[in-house]
Amino acid sequence: MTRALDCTAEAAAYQRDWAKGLRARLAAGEPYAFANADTPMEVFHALGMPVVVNQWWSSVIAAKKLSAAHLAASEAAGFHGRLAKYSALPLFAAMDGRPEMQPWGGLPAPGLLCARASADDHPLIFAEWARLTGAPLRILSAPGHPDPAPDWWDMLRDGWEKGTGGDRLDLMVAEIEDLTALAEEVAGRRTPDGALAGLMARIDRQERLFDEAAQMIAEAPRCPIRISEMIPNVMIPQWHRGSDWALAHAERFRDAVAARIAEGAAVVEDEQVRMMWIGAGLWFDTGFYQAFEALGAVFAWSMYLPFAADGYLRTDHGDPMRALAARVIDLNEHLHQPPWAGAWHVKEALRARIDLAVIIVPESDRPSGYGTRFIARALEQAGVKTVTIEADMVDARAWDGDKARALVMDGIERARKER
Amino acid sequence: MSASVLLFGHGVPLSDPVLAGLAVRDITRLFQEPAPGSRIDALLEPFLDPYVRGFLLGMEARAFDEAAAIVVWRQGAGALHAYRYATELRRQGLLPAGPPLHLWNRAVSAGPAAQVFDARQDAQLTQALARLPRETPVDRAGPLAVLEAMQAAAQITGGEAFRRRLRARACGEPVSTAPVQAPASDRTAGPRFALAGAPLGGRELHAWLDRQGALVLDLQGPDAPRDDVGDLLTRRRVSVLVWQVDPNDDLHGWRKPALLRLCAKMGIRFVDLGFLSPWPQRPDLPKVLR
Repeated sequence: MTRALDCTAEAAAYQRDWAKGLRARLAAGEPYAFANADTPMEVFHALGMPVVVNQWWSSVIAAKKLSAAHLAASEAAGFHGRLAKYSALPLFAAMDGRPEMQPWGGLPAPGLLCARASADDHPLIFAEWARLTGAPLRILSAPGHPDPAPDWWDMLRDGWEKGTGGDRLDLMVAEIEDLTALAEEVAGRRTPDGALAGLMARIDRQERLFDEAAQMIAEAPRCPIRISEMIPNVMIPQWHRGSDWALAHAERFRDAVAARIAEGAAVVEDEQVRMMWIGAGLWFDTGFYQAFEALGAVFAWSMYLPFAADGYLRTDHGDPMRALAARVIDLNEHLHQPPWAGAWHVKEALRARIDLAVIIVPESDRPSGYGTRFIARALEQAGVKTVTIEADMVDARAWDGDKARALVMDGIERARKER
Repeated sequence: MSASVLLFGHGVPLSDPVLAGLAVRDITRLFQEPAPGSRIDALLEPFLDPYVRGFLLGMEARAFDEAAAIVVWRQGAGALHAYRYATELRRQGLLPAGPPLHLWNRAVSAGPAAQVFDARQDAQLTQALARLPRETPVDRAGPLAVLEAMQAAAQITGGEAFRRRLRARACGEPVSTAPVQAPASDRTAGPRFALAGAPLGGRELHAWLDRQGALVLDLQGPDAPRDDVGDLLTRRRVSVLVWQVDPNDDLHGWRKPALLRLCAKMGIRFVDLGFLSPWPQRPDLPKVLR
């Protein structure tokens, strides 16, 4: 059994301090942006404007076991139970209004709101936010790629102009410029000259470090750290991507992983079955990821670490704004939509020598649930066993942990027989 | 369906200048059962948008093969997934070849860049359809306005008005404004209904309402009026608004609380039928509206 990495605690401590500082800044009345995770939050980072990410805040609410109360209140208010939860829980919490039922006693009204129209319901969710808070709202377009190449990950690192399409990039650049102008107006200051370029360069370095860490973990004889450690070590720096701390932490993490591998460390000594978790985290039951280690089965992969490289590395070619547009233009779509998602997960499964893929299918978050059967089919065709679990990332009410564990154990047995 | 341009996506603008004079047909609300031995049904999630499902199963059944092109209107709910699934299923050889698919995007923002983007999208669509013959454009807006006025005045049943709108879109013709023979008295005796929520494909709910009053405002239908909803409810003297969504809805339900508040403010009774199939059957509905 491996001991926890020191940098995991450091990341958690940094996030706690940052959250404390953010809370103080918000309490002091500093305007902040409330934005979806697939928006160009580099705009806010370059400006030095605080940003609260919708899905991060959703996971905080869920982790504090507050989601059931807010979801029940939303249904009492007339929102039916099939509406998206992961992206709507913060709104429901804000509408609920009870400070004692919310992290930090609830968020103050944001200075601005931002989402992409990457899901049909996101503009409506954010319109409710705007109605509730009076904050100005920017919805960024999400025109579809007409001819997506399945193997997007290498091409987009450098050749994104051709790979994403000039028309869509022109539009996204204009919308990011408009968002920047709004953020500057709300903050009452201009983005310092060169700030975005500097930020993008540091993000590039950060993601290359995560790329190295992902490659090392994939190639290690046995999985050296749990995904419950991978996730905070990549996601906390990703929320702060391009900051000096994030860059330094990515390096610490990469080095810690290298050291662990050099020591011959393994999450499971007698590693027999390597598993990947496909989809967003199961935030209310993260212990699920360790539940199969006694059987010799380890979750060796989740999307967060490898996607830091493949989803974010975009050479700026002297135009950081356009490179940023290229990063966000299909950001979430790469993870969920065919043909991108299936091909990428197969590439990753083969790299990490995965035996069994466990796919979360959130029926009430359809943009995340869509495409999961294509992913499963692609993996099966590549020789990877699959298990699908119907669950929501933040709604524990319908979660049947025993059933889910039984499904995974059955998958482990199937994978074991194949080895 | 010879030499037609088939369009998929709720709200696709049949009268857009880009399509002027083309033989266009809206296939969005078609129902299609999976064929025995379907190769794609197992890949379609049970919660997939019902119209996206119908579109894909229609492609598998070769229902659209005679068309010159299929255009997917990105702004329609679920339309991008319809396009993604269709192109991927074709790429994997699970759907037959058939007419070329074209994705017709729109910016959601305003301003010069959005206008440029939309213009480029229109130019690409024009080019994709360049070989097709064009005739004198038909006037759709005029007859639709006439039909809308007939419905507002309870001169036509809600079911018949809905049938005519669906048919006009599916056939690419102007909507029929022919007078109806049924007596108006039955319809004007009961409550004046508005119907809202998720788009329906079948007419059983309309028929059920027609038996109990007059459906004078159909907000779920294709070509629904775009005026302010409060003004419409006032002008049409609506007394009951009936709401429904499909069992996997994750979109239209966002509009319900605001509509509920509006109705409460206006003294209009709000009746929520809950989750209802887009092609409802009589047993899906209560005996009478309560």
